[in-house]
Amino acid sequence: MTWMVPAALVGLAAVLVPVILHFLGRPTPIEIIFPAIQFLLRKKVAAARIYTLREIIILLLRMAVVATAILIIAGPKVFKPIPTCTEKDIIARDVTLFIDNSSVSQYQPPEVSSTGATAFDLYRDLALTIATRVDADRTISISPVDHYRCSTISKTPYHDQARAVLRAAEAGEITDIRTAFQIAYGMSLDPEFLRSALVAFSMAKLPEVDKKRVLFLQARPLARMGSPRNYAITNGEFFLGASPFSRNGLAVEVVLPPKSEGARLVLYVDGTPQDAAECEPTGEEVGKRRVNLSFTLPESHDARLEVKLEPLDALPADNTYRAVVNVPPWPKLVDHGTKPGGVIDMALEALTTAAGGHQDEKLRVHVLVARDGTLPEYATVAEEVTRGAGAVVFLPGKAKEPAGLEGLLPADPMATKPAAPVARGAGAILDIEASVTSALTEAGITSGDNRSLISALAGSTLYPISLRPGTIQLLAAEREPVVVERPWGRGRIVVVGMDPEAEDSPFRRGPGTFVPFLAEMAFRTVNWRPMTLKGIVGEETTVPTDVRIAERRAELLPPGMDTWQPLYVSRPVATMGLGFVPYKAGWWQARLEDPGAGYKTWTVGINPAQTPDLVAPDQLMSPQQVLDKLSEAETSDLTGPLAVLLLILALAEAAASNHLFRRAAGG
Amino acid sequence: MATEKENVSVITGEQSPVLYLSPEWLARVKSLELKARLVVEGFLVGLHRSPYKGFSVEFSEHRQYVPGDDPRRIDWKVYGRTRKLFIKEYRAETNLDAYFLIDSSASMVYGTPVTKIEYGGTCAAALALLLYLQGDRTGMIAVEEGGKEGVLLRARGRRQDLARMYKEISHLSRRKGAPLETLLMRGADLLSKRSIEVGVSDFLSPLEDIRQGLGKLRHRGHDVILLWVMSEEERRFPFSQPSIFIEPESGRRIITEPDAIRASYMSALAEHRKGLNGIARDMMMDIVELGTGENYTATLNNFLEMRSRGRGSTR
Repeated sequence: MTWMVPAALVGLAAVLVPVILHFLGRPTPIEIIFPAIQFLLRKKVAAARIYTLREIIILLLRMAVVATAILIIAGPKVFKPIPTCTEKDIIARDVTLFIDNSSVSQYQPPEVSSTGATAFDLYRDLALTIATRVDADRTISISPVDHYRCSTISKTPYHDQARAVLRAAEAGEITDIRTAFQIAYGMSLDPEFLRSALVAFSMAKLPEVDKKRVLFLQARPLARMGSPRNYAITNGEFFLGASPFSRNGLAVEVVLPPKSEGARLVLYVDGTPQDAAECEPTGEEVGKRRVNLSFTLPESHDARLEVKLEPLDALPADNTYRAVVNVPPWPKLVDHGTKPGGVIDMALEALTTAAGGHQDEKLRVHVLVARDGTLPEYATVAEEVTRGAGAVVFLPGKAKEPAGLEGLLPADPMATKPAAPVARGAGAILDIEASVTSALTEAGITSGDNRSLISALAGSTLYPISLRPGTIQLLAAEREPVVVERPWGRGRIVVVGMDPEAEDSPFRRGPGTFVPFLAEMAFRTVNWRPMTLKGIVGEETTVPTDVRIAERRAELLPPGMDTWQPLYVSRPVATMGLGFVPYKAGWWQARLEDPGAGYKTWTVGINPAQTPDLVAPDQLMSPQQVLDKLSEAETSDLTGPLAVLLLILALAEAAASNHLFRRAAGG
Repeated sequence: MATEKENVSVITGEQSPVLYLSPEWLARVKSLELKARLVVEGFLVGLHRSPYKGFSVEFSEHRQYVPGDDPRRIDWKVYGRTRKLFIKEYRAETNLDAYFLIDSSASMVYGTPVTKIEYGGTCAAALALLLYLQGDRTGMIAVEEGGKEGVLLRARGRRQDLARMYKEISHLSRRKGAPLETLLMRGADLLSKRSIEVGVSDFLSPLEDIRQGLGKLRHRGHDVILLWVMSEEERRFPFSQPSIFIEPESGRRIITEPDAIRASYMSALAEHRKGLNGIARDMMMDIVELGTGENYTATLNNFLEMRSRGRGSTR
C-alpha cells in the first residue's frame, strides 16, 4: 500500500487534539446538598462506570474520526503485486569491491595521462559509480588489497572517523551504506588522507562472503607507473611507493631542474643493488621523468628497499638522495590471512571463498591455480564441474597436468589440439585453435597485434561479455591464449592461460591485470548477469558497455518516444559506457552499434521508486505497461471505504452522545 | 371570636390570589403570621368554588329547604325517598385540639424556591389560623437533635398562643432538629389526650422507622394527618451535570452522573411513595404530598377537600 499524498500523514498528529480537548473540557463535578440521597445508592457504582466508559468511547470515536479524515486526505492506494523475477534471476545482492591500492595503482594510463589521473583514480571513480547504483538495502564491502598498509598505518583523526562509520556499518547501524562510502570517498579525495581512508575501509571486516555473492572490482591493466600527485621529487627530494605484495617493481617519478644532465636511480634491496635506471637530461624547463625499477622480494624475511638518486651533473657525494621502505617478513602477513604470493593469491582466495561458498551448486566456482607447474586437486574439481559447478583454471605458463588427465586441457590451447579424448565428463573439447581464430577475427583482432590484444584485455571489465552458449569464445589473447571457456558436463570450465604477472607476460608491467580477468571469468561461470540498470532523473546515468564505444554509433530512446535519438559520446574511449542525463522517469533504452550484429541494447529504469526493481531482462516492461500496472491500482483505492467508515464513526459518536448510553444505563 | 374572624380581610379585585400565594411570591413576606393570613384569605376567596365544610366537621341534622339556600347542600338521597327537599346541616366538633409535629431535621432545610421547612411551616401556620378562626385550639411539637430538648406548645385557643406558635415555627430552621422517628416518638409520649396530630415532614427516614413512630401515635387514639413536603429537586431530579451529591445529615457523598441514574432514582422514589401511602392507608391516616413549588392555596384547598371526602391520600 502506498499514499497519494504521504505528506498528509503528518496530520495524524491531529488525533491528539481530541485528547487535549477531552482533558481540557472535562467537566468538574459540582457539589450538591441533596437529602434524598438514599434513592441514589442503588445505582451509584454502575452509573460511575458508565460515565467513564462513555467518555472513553466518545474520545476514541473522535480520534478515529480525525485519523480517518487524515487517511482519506493522504489517499491510500493498494497496489497489486507486480511480477518480479525469480530467485535465479536476481543477481548479487551484496557487493564487495576490491580496490587495488598497491603502488601499481599509481600508474597513469596513457588514455588519461593528460588529466593527470592515476589508475587508482579510475578505480575510485568506477567504485563510486557502482556504489551509487547499489540499492541502499544492500551492503558494500570495500577491501583494499594492500593489507600490509592496513596494519601499519599511523592513526589519524580521519582514520578514526572512517573506522567509526564502518564499524557502525558492520553492526548494521547504518542503513545507507552509500553515505558511509561517500564519507570515505570524500576523505580519499585528499591525497594526504587517501591512505587513511582506505585503511579505514580495510579495517572493516569482509562481510561473510560465504553467504553472499560477490562483485569483484579490480584494476584495469596499466602501462605506466608513477603519479605526480603522490610520488614526486621536489626541490631535490623524492618519494617512492612500493607494495610489499608486489613482486616486481616500484615506480619513481623524478622532477629534474632545467638544464639537468639527467640522473641515475639505483634500487637496493637489503643493501644489494637490484635495478638501476637513468633519467634523460632536461632542456630549458623543469623535466619530469618516470622511472620503473624492478626487484625480487624475498618471502622469508623482511626487506629494506632503498633508492638512491644520483644527478649526473653534480658530484655524487653532494647530491645523493635516499628513500627507504621497510617490508615486514611474510609470516606477519600470513598472520593477517594473506599467504605469500601477492595480490593475485589474495584475490584468488577471496574469489574462491566467495564463489565456492555459495550454497547453490550450480553457481559454485572452483578456482585452480597451478603452482610449481602442477594443477592441484583437479580431479576433484572436474567432478564438481561435471555435476554442474563452474571452474576457473589458471595455467601459468606450462603447467603439468595431473596424472591420468594428460591432454584434458591444452597447455597451449590456442595452438594445440587435445592430445587425447576427454577422459571424464560429457563435454568434448572443441577445436580451440579454430574457435580462437574465429573469435579473434570476429573481434577484429589479429593474432600478431600485441597492442590490440593488450588493449582488448585492458578493456575487459567486470561487465560480462555476452557469450554464445555452447561455444568457446576468445576473450583476449597474446602470443599464447589467455582465456578460453567451454562447457563441461553440466558446468563450464574457464581456462586462464597466462599469468599477467609472470616473468615473460606481456602484462609484466601491469600487475593487477589478472584479477579482473579472473573475476570476470568467475562471474560468467556462475552465470552472472547485469542488474537492471537504474538511474535518477536529472543525474548523469551511464550504461556500461562491454566494448569500447569509439567509432560506434550510440543512440538513446527516451520513454514515450518512437525514434532513437543520436547520443553524443564525450567520454574517453578507455571508459566504456554510454552516459546521458535522463529528464523524465520511465524506461529508457540505450543502444550501441555492433558491427555485424546490428545494435546492442540496454534498458535503464529511471527513478527506481517508480519502476519495478529487479525485473529479469525478459520480464522488463515498457513504460506503458508500467503505467497500466499503476492504473490497475486505482481500482483498489481505499478512499471510498474510508469515507464510509468515517460516516459510520461520526454517526456512532452522535449516538453515543445522546441516547445510546442512557439506554445502557437503564433509562 | 366573631371579632377575630372579621379581622381577616379578603383580597378581592383583579389581583389573583393564586398568583400572589405562589411560594416565590410569598417567600418575600417575612412574617409567618402574615403569610398564614394571606394563605387563608386566598383560600377563603376561592371558597365559593369549593365544597368546604370546615376543618373538622360532623353531620348534625336535616332541615327543610327554603329559597336562598345553596342548592348544592340539598340531600338528594332523602329527596329520592321522600320527594321532599332537605338541607344537610353540619356542626363543628367542640373542644378539638390539634397539634403540629414539625420535622426540623437537616434534610428539611433544603429546597427551592423555599425550603421544605419554610413551606411546611407556612402550611402549618395557615391551618392553625383556620382552626383558630373556627374556634379550635392548636399547639405544636418540635424536637431538637438529641431528642431531649425542643418546643412544646400546648393547644390553646387564644390569639397570643397562635402568635407564639408562629414565632416558634419561624425559628425552627435555625435549629438542628431531631430525626423524624424521634419526633414521632416524642409526640406520642407527650400527647396523651386524643387530638388531631398533623405531621409535617419530608419522610425520608426508613419506612420501618416511620411505621413504628406513626403506629405509636395511632395507638394513643390520635387522628393523624401527614403533610409530606418534598422539594422540587427531590420530586423531579432535574440535574444533568456530573455531580457530587452530599447528604446533609450524614455527610455521605456520591459521585455520579444524573442522566445515568435518573431513572433509578425516580423508581426508588416511587417505591418510597408507595410504601408511605401504604402505611397511611393501613393506619387510617390522611397523607398529602406537597411540593415546595406548589401554590399554597391550591395545596390547602386540596387538603381540605380530601378531608371533606374522608380519609385518603392526595397529591
